Amino acid sequence: MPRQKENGKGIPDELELARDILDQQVVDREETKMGRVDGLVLELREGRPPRIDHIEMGAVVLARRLSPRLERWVDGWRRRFGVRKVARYKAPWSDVQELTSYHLKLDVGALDTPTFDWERWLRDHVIQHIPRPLKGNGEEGEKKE
Amino acid sequence: MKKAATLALGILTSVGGFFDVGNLATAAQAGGVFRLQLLWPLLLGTLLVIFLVEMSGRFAAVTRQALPDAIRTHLGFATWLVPFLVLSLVHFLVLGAEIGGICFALHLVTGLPTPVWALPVAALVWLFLWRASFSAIENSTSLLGLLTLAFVVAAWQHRPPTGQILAGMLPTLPHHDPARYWFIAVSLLGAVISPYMFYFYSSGAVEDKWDDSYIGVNRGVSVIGMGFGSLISVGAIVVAAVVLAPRGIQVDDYHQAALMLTTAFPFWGFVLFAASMAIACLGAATEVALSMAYATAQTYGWNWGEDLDPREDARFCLMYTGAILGSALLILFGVDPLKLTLLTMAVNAAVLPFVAIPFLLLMNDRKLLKEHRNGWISNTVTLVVVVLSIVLAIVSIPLLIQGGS
Amino acid sequence: MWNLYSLGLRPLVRTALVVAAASSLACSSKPPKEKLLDTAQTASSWIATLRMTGEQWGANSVPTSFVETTVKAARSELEKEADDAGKSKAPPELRDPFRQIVTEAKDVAKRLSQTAGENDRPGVAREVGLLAALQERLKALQKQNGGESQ
Repeated sequence: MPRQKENGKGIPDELELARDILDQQVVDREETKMGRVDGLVLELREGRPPRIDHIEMGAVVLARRLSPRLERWVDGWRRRFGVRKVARYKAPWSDVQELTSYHLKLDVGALDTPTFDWERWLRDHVIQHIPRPLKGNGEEGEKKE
Repeated sequence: MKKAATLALGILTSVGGFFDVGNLATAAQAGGVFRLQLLWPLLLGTLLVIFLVEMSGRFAAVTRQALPDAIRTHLGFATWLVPFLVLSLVHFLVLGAEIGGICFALHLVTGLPTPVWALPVAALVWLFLWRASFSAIENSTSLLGLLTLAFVVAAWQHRPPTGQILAGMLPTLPHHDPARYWFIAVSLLGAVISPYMFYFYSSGAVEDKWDDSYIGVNRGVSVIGMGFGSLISVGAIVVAAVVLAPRGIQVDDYHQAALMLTTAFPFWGFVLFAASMAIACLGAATEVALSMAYATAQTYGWNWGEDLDPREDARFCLMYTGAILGSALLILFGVDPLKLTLLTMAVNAAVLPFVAIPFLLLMNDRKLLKEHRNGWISNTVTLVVVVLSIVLAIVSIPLLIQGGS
Repeated sequence: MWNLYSLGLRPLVRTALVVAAASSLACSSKPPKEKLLDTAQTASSWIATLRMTGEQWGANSVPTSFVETTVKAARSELEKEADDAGKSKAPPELRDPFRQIVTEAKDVAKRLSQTAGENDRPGVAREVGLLAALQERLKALQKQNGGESQ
């Protein structure tokens, strides 16, 4: 298992890649859930231990874990019908702010990343047209309007 | 003080929320054909479900993770994918059965055909989820669900033979129709140990922001709430055994079950049956639809929460919207609600290994649960569930083919 | 990482499928007489349902619309059972009287619905009596042919 040097951030010293990072819930700096660690890319370095380069997120990444054929199929569908422009969202390891047993926090805003393409599209094309309920931030929003 | 209120409310809601279309249908069938002989699967199921619900609540309180979330994180996507897809399909059928139950109750009251109600009922369930917050949904339907205690009162009024009730609590072999006997026994178990409950309960604990301090509340809610909740199913079996069986009525159609309460409560019994059925199914329908949305959102890591503005979790909201609409179509196209229910309950039992095995793995994880991981009693029970569920899966498939017809 | 297959589930699944296939084959070949007796059980339950529905209507415990919809459901089931009996290869001494009873029950059901619709109390009571008689006849027939009646 690769050891991470204590980096002053909320990342434990010792990590098990598959157990602690792969499939972990990813949240943005506001703790909005933005997806999961669907893939993990390591950098192999001559004479030194390998290092995590970036994490990958996206249905295509998930499909690849099952079979390369499924990956091509999913990507074909995405190209034809998907609203997502980029198949894989790659977050460099340096963006990781915190890693706990229940989430991995990235120093980004979820809405600015391709992981929220679908969320944004649905909100603007579907949810927008249905009267909003009085709950969550909707309640405050209603009052302001 | 707040904990005591949570405990009281939790117990009431799990009593009120216990009974759903599956329990009603299987209890009515069991009592109608085998009188009090099939009380034992209900008791066995209750004992097992108490342990499983307690575990899913404890897990959520300690790790702040709901079950689908934890399974994907700790057991991995490849392991979870097949169970997730199978369970989603099963939940879809359960949701159809619950919606069918509400539609049938409305059919009883209005005389209009059941399929006519499919879309209005779907709209009602959806509107409820769209507008209300998590605790409003959970508390209102479950408290109204206490109406189903009418079955216990009716059972009491009929003064059932105590000796036979006690005898029915011990497993015995059938005197006639063995295939049917085992089919109903399996369906009863499937109705009591419904997989959606664990996903709903643990996600609810996360929605309510439970932490370690709720472990005691959780234990009380699951043991007392589920224990008393199952009394309602016992009541329904007794009523069917005392009212329907002596007259030679077996329940092959919900119309036959609708007569259950008419002798205990003249005039009101019919309305009470329709109201109990509608409210029990409405509560369960909201829970199943939410469970599907929870499981999918957690599996893919989407933002989720019933207390959020739908603009913040569009995919989560559309998930339950689609599930409700799709399963209402089953009823709209004329699928018989009782047949759908009985089939689904047997399927519930068949997919139990997918539910039980992750429990065994997660609940023993030292790193996650530390001192709160399973002790030997819980592990023994979980192991029993795993073994039993595999046996049930093997047994229920042929039973589905012949006993269900 | 944990995997379901590593727990040795694959042979179990295979056994399950074999057992399932074998037992469903074994059970689908019930003799025609047994099959018809099962059908008779369902028919008897529907006749009992009609009878109780009529009784409860008389006691003001169920609305007229319930009588009508129950009769509709019962008639379509009885229709199916009459058809099954027609196609059955069971001995004629069981098959023919059974068809007769079911056909009569269908007619009684229709009249039950009509009389209830006209709020004709004595009429409903009469049909309930007829249903009780049919129930007895069916029970006797089942017993003669070694069927079980609960």
